[in-house]
Amino acid sequence: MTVKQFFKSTAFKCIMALLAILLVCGVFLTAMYGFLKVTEGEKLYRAVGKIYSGESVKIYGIRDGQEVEISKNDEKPVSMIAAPVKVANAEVSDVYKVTYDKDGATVLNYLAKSTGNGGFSNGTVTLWVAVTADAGETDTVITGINKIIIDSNVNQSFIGNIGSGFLDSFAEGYTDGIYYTTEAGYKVTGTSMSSNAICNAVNGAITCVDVNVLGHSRVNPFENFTHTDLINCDLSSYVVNDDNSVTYTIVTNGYVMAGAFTLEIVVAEDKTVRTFTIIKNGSTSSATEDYKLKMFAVETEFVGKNLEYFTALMADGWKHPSSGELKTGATNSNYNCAYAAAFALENYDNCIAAKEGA
Amino acid sequence: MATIIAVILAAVLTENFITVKTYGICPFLGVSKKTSSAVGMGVAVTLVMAIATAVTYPIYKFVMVPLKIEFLEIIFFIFIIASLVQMLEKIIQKLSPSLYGAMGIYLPLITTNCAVLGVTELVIGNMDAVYGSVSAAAAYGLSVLYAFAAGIGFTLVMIIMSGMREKLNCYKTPKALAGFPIAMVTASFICMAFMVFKSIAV
Amino acid sequence: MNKYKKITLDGLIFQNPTFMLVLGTCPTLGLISSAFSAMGMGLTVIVILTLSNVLISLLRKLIPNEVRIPCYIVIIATLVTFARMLLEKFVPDLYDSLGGFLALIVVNCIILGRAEAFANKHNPLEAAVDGIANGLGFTCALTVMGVVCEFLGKGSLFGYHIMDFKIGMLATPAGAFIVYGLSIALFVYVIDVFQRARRVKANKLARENLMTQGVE
Repeated sequence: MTVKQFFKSTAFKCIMALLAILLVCGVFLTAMYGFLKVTEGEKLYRAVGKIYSGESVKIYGIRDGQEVEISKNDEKPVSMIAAPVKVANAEVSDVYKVTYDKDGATVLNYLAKSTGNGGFSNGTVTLWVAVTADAGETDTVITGINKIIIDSNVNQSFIGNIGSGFLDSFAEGYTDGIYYTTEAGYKVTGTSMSSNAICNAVNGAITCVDVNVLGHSRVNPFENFTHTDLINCDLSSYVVNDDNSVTYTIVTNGYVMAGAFTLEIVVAEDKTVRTFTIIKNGSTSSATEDYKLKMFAVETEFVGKNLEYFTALMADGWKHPSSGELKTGATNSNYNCAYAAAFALENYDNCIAAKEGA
Repeated sequence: MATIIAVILAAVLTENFITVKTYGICPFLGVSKKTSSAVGMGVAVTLVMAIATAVTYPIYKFVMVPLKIEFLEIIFFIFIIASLVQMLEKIIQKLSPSLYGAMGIYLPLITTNCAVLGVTELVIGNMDAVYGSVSAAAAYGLSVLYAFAAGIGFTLVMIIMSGMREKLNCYKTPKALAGFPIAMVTASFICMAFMVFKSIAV
Repeated sequence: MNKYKKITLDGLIFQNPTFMLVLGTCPTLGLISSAFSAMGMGLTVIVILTLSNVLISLLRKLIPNEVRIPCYIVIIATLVTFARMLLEKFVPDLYDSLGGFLALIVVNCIILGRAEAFANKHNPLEAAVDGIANGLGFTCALTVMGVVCEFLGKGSLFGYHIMDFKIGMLATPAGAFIVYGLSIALFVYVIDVFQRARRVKANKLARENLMTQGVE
């Protein structure tokens, strides 16, 4: 086939027709894309507008250290935090400052997107938490919770049981410095694991806004302490007594089936447990009382024991033991207690050092 | 390893393309009258889904996104799928005439099968819920695996459906229900059975 | 005028794409759990189908026969992409609720089917009427089934809560299959009864004519 023949052939005509149509369509779409593109800024305004059900909001973020209003044409909207913030049992990915007018006054909110851990089958729940704040002359402080909306979840099969009434209860129950827990009643029966993740996410959002955005420092009494994985550092505390014994009030994070325990542990100067008291038993299940009965007699057996005793009770590296004395049918609860006691003993020197340093 | 199992279980059972996502219903209803044809269609679809994803995913992530022409994805994908199907048909015809005889006739139908376009569109979206956070290379591997497993899930339901329809043929159906209506009612029962898998969590 | 009436009636009833031809089943089954998204999908398809029919009818003499299918697909894909952009910009709620099915309109057999069976053989005006009629047939079918599924499955209509009683199964794909299957059966049955009645009436008329003629 010569070149000339090829140009006259059907094959050539077909190729040209197809190419022409492709070209026209491509150009048309590219031109339209310029007009119709939905920028990231606009997507953000849509998402936030939905949370505030149609209020005309203004959103601010921090760019190069300066607070800027995010425009709808923004390709890359900036958050108030440069990188995701990890807090106890939660991670906050974005915080935006949001303002809108209501009844003639400007309402100030900090909107945090927070993912809480510890849900059903190790899953997570991601929330938008709108925290109201009061901009005083010198300092901005958190005054409450405006709204909580569930954004997404991983593996939470029963999240459908959670209604807006439950989410509203967080705002109603807000008092300064509150720490939401399922034990304090922030749970929906039958969905307690997801409720736990929601509590974690709300707590995380409040902590992140307070510390990372508003710049309030929170003293961590357990700074430099070792083995804090199972210890809720926000709620636990200790006091060094006159006789150089240390009284810990420890809230654990809970472990799998077992919920958070609140324990009072007194460590004597010779680094043994003087008293071990369960203030609040976190052993949960549909048959709570049974599990409590199945527990190892921690309050009597732990007294007078030293660190080696507790590390021997747990598996290597302070892990959950799969055999041994703690394996009683309420192993998770026992493990919580043993871990807390070992933590208290191991960090005895840290407590004393902190007191002498101060 | 756990991620791989999770992806396979999600694609085959919990998020089955036919019973949960309702993709690929045309061949599901049209080619499920006999088990032999259902298997042929299923294998062909599985093959095309895996290969199409293996081709479109890198093109989207490494060519279209850097060039900022993501909005042309539908045109690109449908063209790639159509050419792939044509190529596959020719290759199979050349290499194995017997295989071509078994599944060749289903190949042309696959271009307009929404399960194929559906899976390529699905895996370029946000798959964090299935994969967890993984590296770009791992996400590519898992996407191809997901597409392949989704095809297996499709084939599985096709075979179940064809078995039931073969049995149904032995009974008399009221005139208005004959054909598609009774097939859909049958499909509904398969969907209900597949709801059980929703409780799988890995 | 008769020609357009026939095209319209075929698209809406006698060749109804959803109930009689059983085309476009994927979006139908995927979206009828909500009346809003079912109707939204229907309206989107009306627009795309009409435009694609008109465009293909206009270009029918220019496109070589050998590459007509690829050309149709490019045109349809362009229209779908355009519709997707428009929806994302101006109707984000609908865009979200249609999800993956929006892109899958490209492989919706109704659109390619009408292009191949009708638009490439008729003039643009007829093609447009055909597109609207078929699209409307599709939309009506989806909306009716969407209303049934949502009302019984979720106890609401177009998102507005109506009653607490609900049969959750009907809002899942399993329910969609049952409702769709039974709707086809009902539709076919009604048309069958209707046509039989018309035949009987026609026969009777013919017999009466015969008798009167006989008398004369």
